[in-house]
Amino acid sequence: MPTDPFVHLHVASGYSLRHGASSPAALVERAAALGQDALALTDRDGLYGAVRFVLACRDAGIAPILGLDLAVHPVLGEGGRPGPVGSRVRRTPAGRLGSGPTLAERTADRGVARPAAPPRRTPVRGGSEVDPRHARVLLLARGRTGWASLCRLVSAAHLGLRPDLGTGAATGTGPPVGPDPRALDPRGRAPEVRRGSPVTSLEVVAEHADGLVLVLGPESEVGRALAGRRPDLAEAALAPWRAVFGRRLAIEVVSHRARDSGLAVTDLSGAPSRGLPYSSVSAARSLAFARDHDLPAVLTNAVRHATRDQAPVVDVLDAIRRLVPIDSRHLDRANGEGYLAEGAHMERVAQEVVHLSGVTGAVERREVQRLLADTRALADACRLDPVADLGIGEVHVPELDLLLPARAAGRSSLVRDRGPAALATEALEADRHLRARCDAALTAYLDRARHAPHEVRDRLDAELATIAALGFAGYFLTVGEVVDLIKGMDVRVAARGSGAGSLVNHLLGISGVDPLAHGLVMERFLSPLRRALPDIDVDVESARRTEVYERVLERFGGERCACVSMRDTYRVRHAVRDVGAALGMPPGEIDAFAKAFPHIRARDARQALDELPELRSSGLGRLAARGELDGFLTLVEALDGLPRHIALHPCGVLLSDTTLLDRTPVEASWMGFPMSQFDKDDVEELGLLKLDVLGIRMQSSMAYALTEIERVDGVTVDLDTVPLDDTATYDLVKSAHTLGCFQIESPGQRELVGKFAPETFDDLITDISLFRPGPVKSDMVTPFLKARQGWNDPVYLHPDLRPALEETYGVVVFHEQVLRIVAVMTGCSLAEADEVRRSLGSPDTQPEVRAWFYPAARARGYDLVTIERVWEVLRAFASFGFCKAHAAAFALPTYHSAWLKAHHPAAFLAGVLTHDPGMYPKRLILDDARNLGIAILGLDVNASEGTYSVERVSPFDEPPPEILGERPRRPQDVPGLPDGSAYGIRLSLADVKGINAAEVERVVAGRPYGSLSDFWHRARVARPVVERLVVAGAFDSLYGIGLSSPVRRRGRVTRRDLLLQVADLDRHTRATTRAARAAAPRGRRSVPLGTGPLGAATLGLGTDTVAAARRQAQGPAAATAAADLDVQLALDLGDAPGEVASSGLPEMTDAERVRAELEVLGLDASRHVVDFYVPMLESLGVTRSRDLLHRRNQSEILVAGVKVATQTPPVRSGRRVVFLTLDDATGPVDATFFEDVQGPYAATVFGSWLLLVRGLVRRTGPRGISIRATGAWELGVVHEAWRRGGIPAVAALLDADTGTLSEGDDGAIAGRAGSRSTRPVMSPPPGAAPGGYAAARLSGEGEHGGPAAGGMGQRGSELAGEERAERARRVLVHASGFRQSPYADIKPQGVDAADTRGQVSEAMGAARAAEKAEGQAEKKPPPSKLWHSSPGSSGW
Amino acid sequence: MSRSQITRGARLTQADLAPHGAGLREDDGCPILHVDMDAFYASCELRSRPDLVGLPMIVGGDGSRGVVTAATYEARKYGIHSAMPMSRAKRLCPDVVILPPDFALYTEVSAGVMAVFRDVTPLVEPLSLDEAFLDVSGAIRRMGPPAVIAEDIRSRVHDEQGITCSVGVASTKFVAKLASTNAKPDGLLVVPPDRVVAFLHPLPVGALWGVGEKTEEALLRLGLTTVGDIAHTPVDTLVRALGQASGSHLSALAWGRDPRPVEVPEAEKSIGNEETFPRDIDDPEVIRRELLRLSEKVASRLRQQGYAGRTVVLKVRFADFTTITRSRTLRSPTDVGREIYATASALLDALGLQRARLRLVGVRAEGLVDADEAPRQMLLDEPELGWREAEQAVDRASARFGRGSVRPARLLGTGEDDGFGGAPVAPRPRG
Repeated sequence: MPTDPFVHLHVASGYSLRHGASSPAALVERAAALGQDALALTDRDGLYGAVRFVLACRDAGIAPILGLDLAVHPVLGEGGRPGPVGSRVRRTPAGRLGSGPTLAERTADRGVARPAAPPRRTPVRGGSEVDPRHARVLLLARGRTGWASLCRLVSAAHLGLRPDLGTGAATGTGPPVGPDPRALDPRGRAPEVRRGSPVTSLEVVAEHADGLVLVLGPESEVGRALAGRRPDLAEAALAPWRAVFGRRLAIEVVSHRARDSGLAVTDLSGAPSRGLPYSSVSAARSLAFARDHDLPAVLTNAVRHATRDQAPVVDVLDAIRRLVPIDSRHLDRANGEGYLAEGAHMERVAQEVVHLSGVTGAVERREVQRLLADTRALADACRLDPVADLGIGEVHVPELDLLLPARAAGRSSLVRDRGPAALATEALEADRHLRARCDAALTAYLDRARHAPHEVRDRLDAELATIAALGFAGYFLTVGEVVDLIKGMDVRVAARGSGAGSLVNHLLGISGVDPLAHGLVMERFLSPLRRALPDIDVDVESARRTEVYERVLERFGGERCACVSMRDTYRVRHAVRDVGAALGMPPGEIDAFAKAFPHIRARDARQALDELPELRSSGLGRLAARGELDGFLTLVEALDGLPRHIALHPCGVLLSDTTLLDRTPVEASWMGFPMSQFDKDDVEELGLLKLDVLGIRMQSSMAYALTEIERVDGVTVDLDTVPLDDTATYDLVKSAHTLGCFQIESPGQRELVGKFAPETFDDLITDISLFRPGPVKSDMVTPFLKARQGWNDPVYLHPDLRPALEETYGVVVFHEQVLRIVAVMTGCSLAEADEVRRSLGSPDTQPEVRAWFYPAARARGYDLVTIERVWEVLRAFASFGFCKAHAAAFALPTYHSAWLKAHHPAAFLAGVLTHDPGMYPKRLILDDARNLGIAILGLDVNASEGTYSVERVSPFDEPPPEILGERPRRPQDVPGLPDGSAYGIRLSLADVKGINAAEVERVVAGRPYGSLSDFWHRARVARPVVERLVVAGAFDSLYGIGLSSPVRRRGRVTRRDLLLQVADLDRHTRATTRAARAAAPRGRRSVPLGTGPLGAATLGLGTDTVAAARRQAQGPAAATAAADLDVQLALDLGDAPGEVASSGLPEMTDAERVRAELEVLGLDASRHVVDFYVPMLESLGVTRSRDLLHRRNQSEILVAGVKVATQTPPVRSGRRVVFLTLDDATGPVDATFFEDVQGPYAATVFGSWLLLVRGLVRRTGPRGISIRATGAWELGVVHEAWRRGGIPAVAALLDADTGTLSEGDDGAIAGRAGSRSTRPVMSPPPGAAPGGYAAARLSGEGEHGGPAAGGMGQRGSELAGEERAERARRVLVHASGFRQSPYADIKPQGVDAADTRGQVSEAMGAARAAEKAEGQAEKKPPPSKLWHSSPGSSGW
Repeated sequence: MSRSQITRGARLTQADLAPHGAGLREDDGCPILHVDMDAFYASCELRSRPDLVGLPMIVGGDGSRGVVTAATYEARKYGIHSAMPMSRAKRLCPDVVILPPDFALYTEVSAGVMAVFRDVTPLVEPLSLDEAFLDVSGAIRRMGPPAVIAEDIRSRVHDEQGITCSVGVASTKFVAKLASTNAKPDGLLVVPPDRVVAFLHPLPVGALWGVGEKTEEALLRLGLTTVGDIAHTPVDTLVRALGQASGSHLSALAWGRDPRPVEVPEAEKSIGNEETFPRDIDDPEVIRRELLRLSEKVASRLRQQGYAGRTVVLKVRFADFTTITRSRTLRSPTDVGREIYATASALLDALGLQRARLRLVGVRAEGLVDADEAPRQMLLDEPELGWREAEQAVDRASARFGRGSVRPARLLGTGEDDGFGGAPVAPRPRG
């Protein structure tokens, strides 16, 4: 018996985007705490939170009720009179549909019609208002039918599906009311269907009314009319709804006990205004209305937040939703009463409302009871069962008929009704078919397999038996079908994940890795003990991923197939931006504030300001410490984790039978794919079959490289048949020059492969597995490397375990090894062992496993010491290790990419540059190409494509030994590096800032160009883009603009001359267009209907979710065909090469050219940025990357370069460690900043682009080297000092900061040394700390220090600045004892290091701001120095 | 250029300033002075707050949503400058002292300073409250060479008003202005005619008077970073890049040629008032109320000075500081607040603003004519005594009972005497 019988029937969670303030879980928790035994979730516009809510209810023992709060078009005509259902009319420009005058017209003469509102002007600034406050109705689901209706209704509302073309089950209520085709915009979208915020109509609701209960509340038309004291209008608005829902209709009574002035609120035109819908008076009127019309009334609280104190958050959400600053005009709430109140409170509200409704005495008491009882009765009727009603846990795979066209051919149509018997037959048939497909592939496999045929057959039989037992044959056939589809499109495809362990997958062609050859086990992937759908992930070329989606959708149809969505939730940056906007902060300030944070959770904002040294010492940190930002930060933290945006999941595709749309609501993604409102986790809980089709840019890069090889060299390479034992490939990997290679290009991996020196494919698998959080955290790398390098003998826990652990020198690396260890020690099956492995991951189940493991191992005769040791390893391994099958699947593209880099470096890097796969900026890849001897060919309108293309460079084109005192780059004396000097890479037009795909296409199609004006007229590229092309040198070859020389030759044109020419051309074009426009009044700018990217078919307003979703596609706009290139004659402006008059403008200096390249392309193509600092670097004795290996251990050095990456990976000590990678033109330099130097230097590291770093060298192996940084400075500042005062000035600058460095205590240094030696390696965990990632606090210098002094409460206002290093520090502690800094592994503050253009513009902005700050008093320096030129060059 | 030729005030010796020395003095042919108060509003405040001297201090609107209107040099070291949002200033320097602006005080100090200028020469062209051009050609006989006059002005301003100023002395207005900027703070810089080119050419292009952000960008893209670069670029090229007028104008400026004389503003050509909201506003009601208040005030000033305006100008500044103006010319000039408000209000409607947030609104009457000579359009149904008469009655009441004692009902409760408060807009000579 519940302690609180009240049930809230109208509850919005955070999944009502920018409306609700609490998560479903928080609401459930609150209801449970109040003792309520049921709770509804009725989010706006969607069922996003439904699954989470139902699961939370299940856990809390509460009955879930699901509903929907939906915006609907008014049913009343313009004059406030109802149109008959189904015959309402729309205004059209040409007149009216339907016959006769409308009711509005007929009533116009009675003076109640509202005058037609004048069309609103487009605001000159600030944008139009959003959130038009539509009327809303509440719908509650009853039973399975109700849930299905809810899902279908949501889909229909979002996709603008029309009842007349219904769902196949259309019942034909009323005549069809399709949208007026003329009301569609050119892209074929119904105008009122705005993606993400649907407004639907009575007709659509009526279509899906089965099993739904309608509740009309204060926001409904009825409610608004009542609040406006127009019961006549309320009655009129009620009638059409009542006609549809009959007895399944209730009036909602809501009182937030707001004051009502008592004045009638109507505007002069007679239309009801909003009134005060949540006042007790309005509520009383609603109640009386219900009684008058013999309708049940229910009491709700229109809940938007779980507790009262969250009311201010709701204000922020209102402001964010409406994109306006907080102001009483924009807020929906009157007070803080819209919370999940206790029953006693609701009873008081009921009494108040009933009292105001005018009844007294015994009637009054009875009325109160009746109101509460009716509420309870409706709640009881709407309770849902997760399994029976929502179908959680059911498995639905596409019908076999669909997979086997031959089978279907024997029948007239697909069998839609699949009863249990039919399903059972289908399953048997699927099993048979799966075996047949495997058998067919078996012969070919046996030819190449290393294993004996009987072993292979046994394995296959075992796998098939498992699949049959689980009834998953249809699943495998479906995935096989998808992979076949993809391969049929000639798209590169690879399986990833544990699926690679299955022989069936290999035989079906899903996975390219031979599981038997690499000792992969099936049980890790699919176990007869678990009836969860296995995960098969498929990697495809990223550039063609959407194409693959389209093909899959087409094959399976919108009724069986949808994409999966994901929810972006508020993290600190977005929260700061939205709260800042709501509070009306200046935009520039909001931006600065947001960018100051790393990408942490919003709720940690305050702590980050206090903990991160660079934030603490900033102005923001100081304001926060004084409490001046408290109000702001409280709101920021309150937004934490609320969903803010629904987006297409990057890979999930749902496949099911035709009942899919009964079980999941679908909306359109931005690109126009039908997308389930459920996310990955929800979908898994529901048991929907999800296939991950992930776009991998490396696959696109490799595909591109292959086409370039074929185009340039005429060689066709089939990567899939390349042998896996190529020496050149492993030599390249061993050289650690693996930039661009899949999985092994990060700084840590480059260090690891340098030491590991992989020589076989299995080595690659191991390498990839070692560089994972799991192995790193449980310290596997050091013993492994020591054993591999022969320094130590491998140590085996027990001789019996040797077979399992031999491949990794006794170190546990793979999940598969854990399975084998458990199986050997206890004698259980591998499937059971996998269950054990899963249980090890959770601290809750670990003791159970332990209690089972010890006796089982004892029974097998192992001694306690061995068992203890093995257990320790297993425990530390927890769930961490890595699945070997997964690693093997990864290793294949890794090997392929390394093979390409070793044999076709230019084509490979061109592919990498084109598809931008890595973690680094493109300019670093470009520099890598230079270092391999590949020529970098500049942008050229007559040669550049939309991609980075490879060109052969003849030996005559090769650079002479020395140009302008600079040595050309040659492959260094590193063994294993390929020589690419026969090739060049031509820069791509697509990277020109602001150019669009259509322009690129026109430029390429129109080649060759004879002059700038020829280009101008035929390529028709926007002026700013042409100017960028000019300054980036795209016309240099056309005009013979060569290398800069101090003296300009007479008659030579400069890029600046061409810029002027562009201005002339633009002026001329404007003049002629103006003239032309005057002559012909109307241009042909409008796009004809139905000729959008998706073709005329999209106009058909079908029921198909695919077509419907496409109508809502908002981008990316397809390129307009280049077919209609004008053959307009180029105006002869006399700008043919050689004819342009010199303007007397200086040619761009080298430095200006590089700056232009950085701004236009994000690349320094002609020279390396660092080149401009070479004189200073040499005079300061700065060590270059290529010379690093010659530096002694522990010597202090300076390094300098462009920042290409910063990482804050998790390290064992639980501290934040910042890894910085610089590029200094001779290669990458990696430096590590530990906490002691972060205080003074972190802001510089995160905020600068060019850096000088001081540090101590630490040698870690023959090719292993790392730098422990002791300081970092902006290179420009150092250069300024050097230019003014030479070396002494620089020394003074560097010394000035030394005082702030502290070495920390011994423990800190020891820990540091451990993590420094090899980045991923950590010393073993000191002790077990149970509990997931529990937040712990370490004091002072970490685990060796005393207890946290002061703790959180004493956020030191009395402690200032650096002294606060001693205060408490948060650490996350994992089940295995691993400690992690809360700031590890998050994107750092500022602009992404891979975004060169962003960083450059940021740096420029800073330079400009600094200049302005200098004020008018001093002479302004020449503006905007990005970097400082060497003294020789002019113009700076 | 050497120190001896361009002399900083602080280094002037008595010998340098000897009025009747032999030979050519370096300030010969430099009759134009540009006098600019140093951190004017802030300096005014410091007169009564000596305890704040030496501390970073700014004057600005209330709360974190206002703007910095002035910053002391100590504050500028933190990167704070005027027109910067207050919240940014606080972020740059959390300890900065913030004082609310006191425009009455600044107006008063300004009047004192201008009086000093007019003692020297009648040829005073005020640019704003805190800066002015002076042509001292006529004062040389009486007071000595320009540099001496300049130093004299600096001393008198300091003695009488307790604030410092910087003076540029040159042959043309724009060079004088650049010179005073270079002399800041509390300095004097003389740029003799033969050193003008040497002075100008190393300056960045943005320093030139009339080179805004866009022009600067265009020049930089062409590789013209200094004034010297502009000077040595063919005029044709500049014209191609910037258009006829500004191309040739810039070329002339780059060679120090500027024919614009110091002009005493004859009469006010416009009367306007504007108001920066304490926070950005999007409420149409509030905006309209503010327009009404400003219109009433403009009309009152027009009547006070006997003018009527023909054109009503609406100025709107948005939260991001972009500013637009819209104007409408009436059929006949007016000095009636109602009419000005109706026009300004219609101009606002035409903007169709919905979500835009406003930082400032302003109303200005232009095309001023003498009210008595203004033709008055009589409408057929106009009562003999109309709004004009009503407002004149308000003027009389105000004169007797104080400003704001009678005001439109909509403006009731908007503050005790602030009915006509807000930032006064100094009349600016146009062009």
